[in-house]
Amino acid sequence: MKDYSPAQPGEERWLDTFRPRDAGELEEVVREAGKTRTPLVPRSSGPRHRSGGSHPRLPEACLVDMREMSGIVRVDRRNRAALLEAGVTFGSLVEELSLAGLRPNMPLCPRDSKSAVASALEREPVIMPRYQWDLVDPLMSLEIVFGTGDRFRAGSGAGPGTLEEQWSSGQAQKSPMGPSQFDPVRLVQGAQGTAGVVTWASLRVEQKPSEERLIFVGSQNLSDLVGLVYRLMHRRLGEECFILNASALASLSKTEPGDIDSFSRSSPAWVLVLGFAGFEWRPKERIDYQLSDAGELMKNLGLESRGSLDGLTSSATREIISRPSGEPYWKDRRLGAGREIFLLTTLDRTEGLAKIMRDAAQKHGYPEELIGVYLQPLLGGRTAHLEFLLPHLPDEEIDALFIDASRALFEAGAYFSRPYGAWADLVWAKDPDMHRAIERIKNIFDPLGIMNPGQMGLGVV
Amino acid sequence: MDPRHTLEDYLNDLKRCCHCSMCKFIPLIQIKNSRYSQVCPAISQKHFHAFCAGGKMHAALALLEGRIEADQDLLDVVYQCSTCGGCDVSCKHNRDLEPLEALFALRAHLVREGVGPLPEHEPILKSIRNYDNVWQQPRQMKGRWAKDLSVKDPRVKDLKKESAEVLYFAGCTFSLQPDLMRVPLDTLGILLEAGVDVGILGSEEPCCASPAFTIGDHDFFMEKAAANIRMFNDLGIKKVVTSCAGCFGVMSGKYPAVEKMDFEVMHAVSYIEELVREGRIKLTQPVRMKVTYHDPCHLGRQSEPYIPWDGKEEKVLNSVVIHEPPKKYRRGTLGVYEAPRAVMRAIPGLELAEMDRIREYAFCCGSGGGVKTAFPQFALNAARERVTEARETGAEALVTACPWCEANLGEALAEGNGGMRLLDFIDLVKIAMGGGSGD
Amino acid sequence: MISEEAYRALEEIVGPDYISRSPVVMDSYTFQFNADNMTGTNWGPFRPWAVILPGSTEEVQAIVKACNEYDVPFKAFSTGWAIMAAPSCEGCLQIDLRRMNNVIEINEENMYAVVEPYVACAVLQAEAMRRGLNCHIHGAGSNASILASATSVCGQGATGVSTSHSNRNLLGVEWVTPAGEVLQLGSVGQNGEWFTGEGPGPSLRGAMRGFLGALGGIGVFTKCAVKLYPWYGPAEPEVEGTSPDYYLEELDRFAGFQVALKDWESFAEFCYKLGEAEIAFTACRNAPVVTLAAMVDSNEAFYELWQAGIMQEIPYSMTVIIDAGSDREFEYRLRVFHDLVDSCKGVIMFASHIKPSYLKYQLRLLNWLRQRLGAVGAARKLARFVPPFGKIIREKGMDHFARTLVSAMIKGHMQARAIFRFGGSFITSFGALETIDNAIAGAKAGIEVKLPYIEKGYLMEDTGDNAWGTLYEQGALMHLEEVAAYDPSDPVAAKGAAEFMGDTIIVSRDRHLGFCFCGFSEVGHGLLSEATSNYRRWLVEIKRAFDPQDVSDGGYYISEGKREVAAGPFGLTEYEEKQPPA
Repeated sequence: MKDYSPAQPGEERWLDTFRPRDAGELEEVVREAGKTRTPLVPRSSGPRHRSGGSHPRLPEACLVDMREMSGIVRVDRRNRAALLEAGVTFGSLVEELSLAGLRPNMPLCPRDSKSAVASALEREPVIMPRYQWDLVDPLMSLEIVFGTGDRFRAGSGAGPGTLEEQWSSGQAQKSPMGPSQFDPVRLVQGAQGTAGVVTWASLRVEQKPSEERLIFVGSQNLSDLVGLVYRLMHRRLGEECFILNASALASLSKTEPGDIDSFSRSSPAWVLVLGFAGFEWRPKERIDYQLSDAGELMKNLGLESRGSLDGLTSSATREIISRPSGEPYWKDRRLGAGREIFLLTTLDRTEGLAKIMRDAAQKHGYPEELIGVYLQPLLGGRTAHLEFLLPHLPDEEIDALFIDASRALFEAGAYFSRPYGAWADLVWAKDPDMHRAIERIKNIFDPLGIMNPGQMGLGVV
Repeated sequence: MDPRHTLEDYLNDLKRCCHCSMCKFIPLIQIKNSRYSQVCPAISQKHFHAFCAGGKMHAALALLEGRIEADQDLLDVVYQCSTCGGCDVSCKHNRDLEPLEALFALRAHLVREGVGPLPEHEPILKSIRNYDNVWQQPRQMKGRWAKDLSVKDPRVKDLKKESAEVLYFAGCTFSLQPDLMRVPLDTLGILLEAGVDVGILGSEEPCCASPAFTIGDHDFFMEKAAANIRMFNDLGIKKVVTSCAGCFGVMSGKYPAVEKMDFEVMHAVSYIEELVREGRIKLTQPVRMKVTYHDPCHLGRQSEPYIPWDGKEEKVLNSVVIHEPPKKYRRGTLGVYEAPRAVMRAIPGLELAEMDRIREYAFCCGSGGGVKTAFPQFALNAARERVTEARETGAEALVTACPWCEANLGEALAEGNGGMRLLDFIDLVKIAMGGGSGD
Repeated sequence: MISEEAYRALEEIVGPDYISRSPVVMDSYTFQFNADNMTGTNWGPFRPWAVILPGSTEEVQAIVKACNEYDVPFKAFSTGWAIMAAPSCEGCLQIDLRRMNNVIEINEENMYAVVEPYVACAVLQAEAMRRGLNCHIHGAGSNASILASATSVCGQGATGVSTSHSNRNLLGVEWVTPAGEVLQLGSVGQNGEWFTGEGPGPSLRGAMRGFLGALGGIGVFTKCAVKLYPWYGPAEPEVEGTSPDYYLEELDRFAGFQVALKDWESFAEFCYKLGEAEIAFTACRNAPVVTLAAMVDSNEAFYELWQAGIMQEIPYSMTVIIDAGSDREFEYRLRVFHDLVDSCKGVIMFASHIKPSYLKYQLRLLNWLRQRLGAVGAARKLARFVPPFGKIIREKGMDHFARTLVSAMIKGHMQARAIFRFGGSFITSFGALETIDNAIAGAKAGIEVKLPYIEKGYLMEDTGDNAWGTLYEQGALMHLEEVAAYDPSDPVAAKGAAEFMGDTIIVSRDRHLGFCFCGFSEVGHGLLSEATSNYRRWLVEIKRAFDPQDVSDGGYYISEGKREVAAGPFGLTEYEEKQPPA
């Protein structure tokens, strides 16, 4: 099993780079690439790219850099939707939405240069599980240029009619379903650029609160907090909801390595960060009753909430999680660099999987206290994104640990739903029929095999 | 149902069935779990859609339109059905259709065409004609159950010679099945103790002809029913009381369509409930037992009084079907459900644990509709299903008020070693009156 | 002609008890509603060649492989309701999945259930409620299969505001493809757990269905997991009353309301606000004709009240049920609900708990009637309406209307009454799943398209407005479908209903009202694909990729002409574009 380490800026080598300014230019690029069988790798975000989804596998690969297409086409307050081009970053999106009284359901402090569309296409976890009704969310509709060079709109944005015509009848490209009897949004999402290049996507966005509160619930035992989260999800209480271990919270909330070390020692081993909000209708009453009800749930489990943790205030935390990460990127702060192992599971399995990670770390002599753990309930609590942050020095190699731990987690039931790098080998070995089926889908949209060939084990390298 | 109706009279209903499959389930809102969600013994066993009420309606339409022949496959579909009416209850919660009547009309159609009933049913019809019972027993045997009582208790009137207010109608199964004879005997004894002016017909008791109806020989049924009604009218009785759910159901639900009745019909459970309320029966002896009660189809959903309607259909608002005069539908809910429960609640020490499928949506014991005779395994499978459900209540005894239910459920109970007893409703009353052991 | 050898091979798989070619059995599968739109009769165009009842995924796979070997087209269904469940070509094997009826798992903590095809929504709901959970019941009603809705049909439902849509509720899936592979989509293929249907990588859920399912055209789904939702009511709600009036017991912390607004604009406002307030368990729009039908025992009673002419004057109404997980939450939600009604100047027509302050709503309602009808007109109609309405109240109680609607919304058990009881059948159209404003635009267009067909006598006279629909996901989406009742025994009306459906497709396309319900089968694709990113081109490829031998009956999906097919959206097999209605 091999994997790809995230390349440092300047390390990548591309045969050429295309920067289309509109969909028409993009179509030309793809058609021309088809004629010469030139591999294309689409990318919408700025550096530093971590997952290996858009790396130059082949010397003749060309980068399709979508950052020139960075317009926020439409913000629709009434329908809580935003339509944005591929190159729009979270930084600019947050600002624009805020002006309209909206906010995105964001990942936890994404890179400032991270494309919001790319994040949604990658099914990155979002921090407000209550608003996620399907793992597709917040992605709704999209436009893509397939590897055939054909432009296509998916989701309700497909039509009938142009976008303008749809807007005239009150639509907002709000649904990822269809058109008709397939969901091409789902076939593109998670494809790691192997189907085509997305030009724009519509995202579901949420109301901006008029009042907010944020609390911390600490425990030495992850299972206690998991139990609380289950109950909160069943009651549909709260907004932001995620669990970090001390190391991860320290990296998120502090910038200096010394402060990170110190905070990670003083913080409870596990911390649930829980937000509450009130909107237009009786906002304070809403927060009050939700806090009271959540408080009762906590009390039943012998837990307590706090407004601050060793100097980290809830308002400061609110500020942190409402925006993309400052520099350095939080996952790299502890030692200057980092790798992440992330998977899907259910909340009740997380403690067991965390132990497996610790055991793997121990086997490789990796200090357990460095491991950051980020547990994000998804889909209203039905699924959980579990992420292990493995900080390391910039010139340190932790590939062996990464591969070993991945394999051990996989064998313990971890689901690599986003199979980057070495994980693709694991998932396809487990289910070769599925691999063949996904290949068939790829061959529909990219019969010439020019779209990111070899990525995720698809297409001929 | 009016037995004069032909299958063609149901043509509109056959066409308006929408294939929703609700006839397979108990009324949807009543479903409490996955295990006991079905109401139809036929589809539960045979699975092909043809075997549910909707499927049989499609079969009827296909037959009328010449799409299918009246072959053995059709007979299998039509007669592997206990005609329990559970489908009818479920359908009518949402629709104004008559699936059960259509099924009976289909059977009658097949009989009139000379295709039905099944060969296994012929001896039953012959037995009713010749012996006034379904058991091919000589007529004289029908009075045997009451022989001792008639001799010893002068209060028992011989209605061949005397008059009384009440005719106690035993029914052929209770009269002739040795292990069930205690039921009419005890019932009559209880009525006498309550001071009821009651008589019997003994060996002159006719067969109610309910099996003739369910099998589909409606012409014979009408002939027999008319004769019975005239006989009872001539007796000058005010009330017919019977312990047999089959007899009760047909007299209450179908006889009024045939001829005018100058008497009321009651099942013994209702009459006893009335007598308990009036204080004429005293239930003083504790019966320390946990029981569950099986609602017989013919005491429950199929016993609703007949509602005559002789109107026409109209269409309004382009496509809305209304009836002029408005047609009332029997939805199964006016059957006898509360009376046995009220009596059981009044018995000290008795605990009633209800099954999941009860009242108008009770699961059939499986023995009706000629199924026990022609498809005994089918009947037994249905009984097994019901007994399983009964056992899950944790009850020590399964109580019912119908000889057919008792016979079929009894057979299924005897297979298992769960230790559950089978009791007739009257057994409990007798014990509670001090007539037996309550422990 | 399909060979005897094929039959024997299939019989070998399931045993002789579970396969049949007998005409009486075949015809029970040929009869379907909306067949009349095609054939003018109750019978679909093709009788199945045989019907088979598999009992396991292994048997299904073996059957599908045999179909490939012997070139036998097949059409699978679960509860199998409507013409789309029936074969659309000659010589088709009908696969009836009735024997696969298990609720395999209910994972309480992670709030999902794993089911086989013949698990009706009512069954899953009962099992889920015992565990403090609930499931989405789709518009067909709780008698229909939850798996069929999630994998193969559509998925709108009355409680969508809190229980989403079947497409969005689908998690892991077990799929026997037309080629006979068994694919397990999502986590189940990797670790045996069903919690998600996405990935690995892209989601094959995108190939198996879309806004609409493949309606049997892409193989057989033998298991799936669906999301469950919190249920704050009792584990086994008591049912009171007698048929036809079964009611759920009064539920703690549940309150039902029938809210009316003055016009479409304020109706839209109310919907948007209700969605954003996130307080509703149900937010379902039933047109007056359906609201009334659900609450009376008979068509005669319906007609008497309908002729009084009052219900038609209060069309912009919605059934809202508020639930809550705590007393605090309940009180908050009720306060907010009343704030919303008042802010939109709405009326609470009836409620499960009536307060003295609701008198203001009755006065407001009377004022509306006066404004619309004039004082004399309003008085006349009220004089005609009140006596039969009062009779119902006297017989059934003041709370009858509220209890009926609340029970119907929660249990989904009365769909057939609300639409089939009228004349026997119905057809439906529009229904795009997009914004509230778009749904209402569709509802307005629906009235316009329908009126000429009412005038011709084809469709039920329902004022033209029988738009049924609901909010989804706390107002993120809405659908309103234009339902039309008609008499299927009248071949002219049946054909007219189909033509109406064709008109609605054109109008929804040309006025850009979103992708309608009817966008399936070659007829639907023919009318819609070109205006909708030419989607058919890609859909064909998916069909070919998974069904190289074209054995999965694609009449309601994609059919490329290998077999002669008679199929179309709800029975519309052909439609010639004409000038759309003015």
